[in-house]
Amino acid sequence: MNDNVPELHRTLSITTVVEFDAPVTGMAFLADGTLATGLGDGTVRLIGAVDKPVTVQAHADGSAVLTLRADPDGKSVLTGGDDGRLARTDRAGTTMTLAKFPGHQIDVLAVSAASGLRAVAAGRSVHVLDSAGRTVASSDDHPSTVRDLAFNPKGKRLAVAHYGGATVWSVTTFGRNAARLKWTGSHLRITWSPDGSTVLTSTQDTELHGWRVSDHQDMRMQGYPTKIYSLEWLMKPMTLLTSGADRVIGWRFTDGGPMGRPPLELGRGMRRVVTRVAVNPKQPIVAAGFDDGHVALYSLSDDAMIDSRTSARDSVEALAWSGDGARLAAGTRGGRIHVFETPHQIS
Amino acid sequence: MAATPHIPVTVLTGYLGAGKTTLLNRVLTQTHSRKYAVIVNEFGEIGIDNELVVNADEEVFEMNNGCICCTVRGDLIRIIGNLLKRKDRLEAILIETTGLADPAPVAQTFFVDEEIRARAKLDSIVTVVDAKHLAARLEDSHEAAEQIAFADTILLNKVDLVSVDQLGQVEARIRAINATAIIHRTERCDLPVATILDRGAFDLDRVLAVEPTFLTENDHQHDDAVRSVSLRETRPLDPVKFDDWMTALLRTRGQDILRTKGIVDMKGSASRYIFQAVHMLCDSATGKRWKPGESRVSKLVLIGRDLDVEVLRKSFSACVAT
Repeated sequence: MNDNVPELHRTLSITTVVEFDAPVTGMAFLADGTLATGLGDGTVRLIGAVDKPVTVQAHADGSAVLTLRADPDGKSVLTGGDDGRLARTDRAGTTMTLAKFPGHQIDVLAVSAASGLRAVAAGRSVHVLDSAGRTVASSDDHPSTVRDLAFNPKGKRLAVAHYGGATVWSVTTFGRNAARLKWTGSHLRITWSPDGSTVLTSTQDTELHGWRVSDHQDMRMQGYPTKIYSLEWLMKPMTLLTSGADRVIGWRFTDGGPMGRPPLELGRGMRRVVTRVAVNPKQPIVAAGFDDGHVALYSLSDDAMIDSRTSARDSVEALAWSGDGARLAAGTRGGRIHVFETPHQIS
Repeated sequence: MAATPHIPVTVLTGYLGAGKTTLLNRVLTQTHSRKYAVIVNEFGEIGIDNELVVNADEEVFEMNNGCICCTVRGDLIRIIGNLLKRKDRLEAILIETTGLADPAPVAQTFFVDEEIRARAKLDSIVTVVDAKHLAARLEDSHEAAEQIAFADTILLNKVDLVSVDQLGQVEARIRAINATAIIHRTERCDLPVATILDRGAFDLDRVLAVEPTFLTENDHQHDDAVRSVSLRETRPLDPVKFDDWMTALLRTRGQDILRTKGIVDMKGSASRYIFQAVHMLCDSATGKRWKPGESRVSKLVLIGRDLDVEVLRKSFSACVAT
């Protein structure tokens, strides 16, 4: 499909192609390798290694799954839908509603493997749920609708994105003691650096904004042509990898960076926009999905492209690696999913 | 990829008690399918329990794009983005705003967000006004005049509660503020939903399809701060002069000029140049070709506060090609 890549370097082999008749809105692998896909028809589709795909109507017929996250238990996925429901669906296809927020689109979820906590937003309110699905903390003390949530690496603090910046809560004093991180504009996605030192957001003004948590010192990274939907981390050397440009943009948080240092640029010169990125959990490799259906892999040890494939002709809206880093799933707005196999150590 | 048509979005404004809730209930009962979505303010007066209804946060934020009046409804970007993820394509989206809301941020949202702009389009702004109480509303709130100023369609509601004379006066008052809007006289907002949804009022091709009512100074019995100014010119205009003038006008007076609509005969062009603006944000395109022998007239309507007709007329005439 891609004529620019010599055959020798083709390391992505397609193992599974499935076409659904609804947009792909979220994807995650469960611990046993089952791929869970959320769709714009309110269903979760489970594709296991052996059995036939299972269709689960997790949300109301005619609604859409808006966000999907692997649950910290490893055996199920959490989904938010535009039917106002937060649902959990396990690999056997059993689904249950954990919470209902009538009249709201549930498009924001966060989970923490470290603490086992989950968080969900509805309008200006945020609710923290324990592993049994019970609400342990809630607050609506936010200046506008909550756009994203992120737990810190220990899962004890929660960062909330909204107009004018972000709010950071400690789970134990949730709703009482907030740290307010301020910056003008509408903040869309939020992430916490793996060392816990920095909170970063992407904004409607197509920028990245960061705050050092200890003293709220600002950092600002500009130059993106479109909104940034993916904020993903490479642990070592600590690097933030982002979508939103015609190449993968990476910001190294080493040697005094990222401010004042040029970013990493992977895949430059392509006339298409990176819509999603995903970092391999085992190797220094980042996958990128493009608005024309391309999927590409880049090595972060030598900043070179490993492979590029076309999976479809429409925008990649979800990218997920399996826990062992051997499989990569891409899903598009048109409802097509591709699973790529990376059979051996690439770099 | 095949280009998919844009989903038309109708914005519904109107003062508390004018009849918006009645109209929304009509829309919801006439359109049972999930092909329509209705976005309401979650802290507003509309208490409708219906699966088609989505709650929105009316809070606005300022874009960091250097445009000082560019406030945007971020929650609309989120909600419409989510609606576009549904398998079934929506046929129309209706956005209700609260009685005291300024319609500008809603309209501006459709100009500034690229993703929304690629897949949905502002179709028209519909304002419901109460025939009996409009005069009083215009006295005690500037929002009432602004909602009329922004409208493409006005539902002059509760016409059964006023006399024919009073109705004529109210309509003249509306016309002084907004010379181009289509006015429907209604009782209990009783009109087919198709009259307000998917009208294409924001399509540049249809700008000024309605011949503006030309006003003379004598028409102004009331000194409404917000009013329409219609300008016309039979000589072809110079594209550079016109663009410089309009850019400077919107930059310096864009906060006071709420809507601008125009069809212009540019020197050297065989087709109409059409444009419209909401405050400082404007959109332009090449329109239909002039027919052979057709009289080419440039028409411009500005709706805003404290507009000096003579100054505008002179500066507009200065754009004539030499």
